[in-house]
Amino acid sequence: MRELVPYLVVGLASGSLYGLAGLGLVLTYRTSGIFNFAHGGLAAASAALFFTVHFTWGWPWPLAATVAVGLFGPVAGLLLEPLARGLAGSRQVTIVVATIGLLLLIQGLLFQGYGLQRRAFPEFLPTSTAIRIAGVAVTWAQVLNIAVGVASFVGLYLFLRRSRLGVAMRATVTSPDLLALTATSPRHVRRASWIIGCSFAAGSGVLIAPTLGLDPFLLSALVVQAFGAVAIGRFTSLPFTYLGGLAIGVLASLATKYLSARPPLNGIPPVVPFLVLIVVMLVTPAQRLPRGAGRSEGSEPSRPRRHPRAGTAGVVMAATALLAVPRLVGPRLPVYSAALALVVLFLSISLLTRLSGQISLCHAAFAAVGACAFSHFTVGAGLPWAVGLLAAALATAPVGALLAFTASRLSGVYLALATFGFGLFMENVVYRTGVMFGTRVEGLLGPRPSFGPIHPRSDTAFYYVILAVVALSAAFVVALRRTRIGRILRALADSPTALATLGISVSVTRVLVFSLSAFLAGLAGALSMAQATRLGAITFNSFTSLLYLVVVVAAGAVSGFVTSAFVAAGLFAVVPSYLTAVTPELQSLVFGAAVIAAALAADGRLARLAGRCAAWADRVADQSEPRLRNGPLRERRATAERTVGVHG
Amino acid sequence: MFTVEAVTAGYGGAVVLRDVTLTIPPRSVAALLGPNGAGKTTLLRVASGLLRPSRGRILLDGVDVTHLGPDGLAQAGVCHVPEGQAVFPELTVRENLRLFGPPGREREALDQALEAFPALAGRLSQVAATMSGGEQQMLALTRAAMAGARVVLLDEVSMGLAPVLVDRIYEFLDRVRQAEVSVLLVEQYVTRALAVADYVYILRRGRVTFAGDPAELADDDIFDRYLGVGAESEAFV
Repeated sequence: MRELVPYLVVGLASGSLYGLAGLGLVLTYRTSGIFNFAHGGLAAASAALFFTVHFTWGWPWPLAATVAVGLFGPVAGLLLEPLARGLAGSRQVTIVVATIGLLLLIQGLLFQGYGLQRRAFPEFLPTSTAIRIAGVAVTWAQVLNIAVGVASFVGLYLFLRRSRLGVAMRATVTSPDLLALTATSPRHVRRASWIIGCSFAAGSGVLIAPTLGLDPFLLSALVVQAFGAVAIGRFTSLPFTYLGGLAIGVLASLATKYLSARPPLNGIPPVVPFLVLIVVMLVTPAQRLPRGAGRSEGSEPSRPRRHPRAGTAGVVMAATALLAVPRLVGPRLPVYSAALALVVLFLSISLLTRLSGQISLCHAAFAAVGACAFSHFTVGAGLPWAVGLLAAALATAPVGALLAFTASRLSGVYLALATFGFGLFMENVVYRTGVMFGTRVEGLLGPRPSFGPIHPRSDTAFYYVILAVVALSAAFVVALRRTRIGRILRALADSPTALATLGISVSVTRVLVFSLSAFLAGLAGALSMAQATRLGAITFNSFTSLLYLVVVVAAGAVSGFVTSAFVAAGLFAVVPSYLTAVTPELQSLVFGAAVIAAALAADGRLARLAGRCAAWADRVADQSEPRLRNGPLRERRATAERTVGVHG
Repeated sequence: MFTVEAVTAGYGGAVVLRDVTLTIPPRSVAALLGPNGAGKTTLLRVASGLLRPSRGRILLDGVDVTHLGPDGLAQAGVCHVPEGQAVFPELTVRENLRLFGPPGREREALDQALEAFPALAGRLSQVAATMSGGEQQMLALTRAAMAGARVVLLDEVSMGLAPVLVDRIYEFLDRVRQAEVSVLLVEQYVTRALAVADYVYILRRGRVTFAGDPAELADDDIFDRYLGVGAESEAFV
């Protein structure tokens, strides 16, 4: 028992900070309805700011903490409140992708500013012994971590109960309109809650940084711990969120003690919060989880149809261009082959996200399963290349089905969290087993095809093989959209309730679409591995899944369903090979920004805004020039109103 | 004097109200009647700022307040009690009353509320959602009793309540009127509303089809003509 005490102390100290981050997340989620995936990004940004002010400029740490928390938190809150307001009422997929975009944007900025290398972040708090518990020295830093967490929790709890603004915050969760009618602006109240929430994130970031180092990835992953804490509080209760943070800190610390010497189980400690999250979401009835501000229903607005012949001409031109690529690009051909393999992956994401309104934050894991299976089937079991490819894709489909079946009651932000957790679990635990990559750092081998005139050494021949698979996949997706299944999938996005009333099981439909999507993702993973000839687990990490989704959605904002997969692959894989300035960090920044802009412009909001501006200009003109009143514009509007009809 | 002037409003592309004008002098009750889907609730939403009209103005004592927004209008004295969701369900009665009153004058607001509905005194620590519909409605109506309310917009306040409670609410309404307040009443009990009203507006398919004295509506024929089909008015009473 005594040997556990140091682990408990470490667990409680870090758990207190997880709880702190979780409190901020719950507060902003409940008051605005927007679940902020970028919460950990804010923590990372604040830690980076502290690093600069304290270590680079040499300011004393209390002053640096004032800047990084007291100044940065409110500023971030003031910036996020309008963003959240702009997103409210969008489709849930749009909201999730937008906040992930924000996370990527912040990470990209931090990588630009601080470099990719993890930097040491020395403990700035005194590490002298504060007290001894059962002979274990507890440092002042640890005491302070716990004290800050407890004080923030108690302070927030009393604030929400005692102060008028706090009571208004609780009121705005269910009744923002009524709050406005009682002369309190919900916007002001939400602004205050974003300021508090962001400050909590900032505080936890600064305090946890000495443990994690200055690493935007690791620090952003603080949000993962916060997710677990928030899940224990069932996304609503502040006391349980804080206690949940403590519990996760202690559990992860104990897991480290018992599992660190036992691969692959040594991957479990970092995923403890997600195991907790998934268990909580599976045992909690869906109606007990609060609803966000997003619409759960409503498919992507359809784009205006082009002239059919223009479409055919476009397809012919694109196909010609793709066929001519090997003659045109010279030594860059492997880049294009890799991009083509990604097209299949992006088609698979589009099928899930854009057609069926589902969210997956674990597509890199699907691709990894396909890649490993392909390697094991061909190199290991000696199956012919094409058979191995198909078998790898088929082997991935059940993984998708299993995930959809397990998470069958979750949708929107909860589905996003569950799939992200699944991805993290795969990456940290399953990747390390012999079934997948094992412990070999160099990765697995994937062979090139060799049949008939196709020589395994020829990049050109292989390019055409991939192109053929891409063409088949695209044809499959296009055909699928036109069949009954395609309509059912669109209905799944439109209104799951309506689908259920027609006697079609929503769960079965979701299992189906996840299987299909996993099948294509597995195919893409296998192709990528054959194209690279050797790939390691690092290629398929969980944050890559986020980037994939964001790229697909960003490309989808400017191009059609199938086209967007090509556009996304081009932006993601081809552009950086021409512009060396386009690093992955810059990509993450640009795509993050693009996807936020796309989300704000989605659902015809830009058009509505333009309409409102026009109406306003009209009104101004109306008031200044009475002669316009009976002008032709007014008549036209009157006619339009008559045709629209009246709905009381 | 509260005036809705030539208001056209709707949701998205659908126009619900066309060119609606309506005036309520102080110390008077105006009843707003009309069949389902006529736009009564929409009109109240425009009057309290929850919905921006696409054209037209809201005037409070001759001052244009259209662009104040719901919280600004509420501060200016417009009190809208919406149908069905007029209390904060997860807050206690005391917390509800705290938000209803103006900041800094919470004690005063509490006294005024308890004076209007003494029955609430024993329920101050109860969570609003756990009270009965009638009790919740009383809690909602305390807002109309608080000082500073100059225009009170009531949407179906007596819906689903026991007759004895409806009596209480109408007594309360009479008291509110005494205090220099303009009341706009949307009501399902037509006869009840006509008995208390000084003015009547009938809304049909988004337009005002009758505006005038309740006495003019005493004749059932006229009443039917303005409301629409005869059968509908049966369903009304």
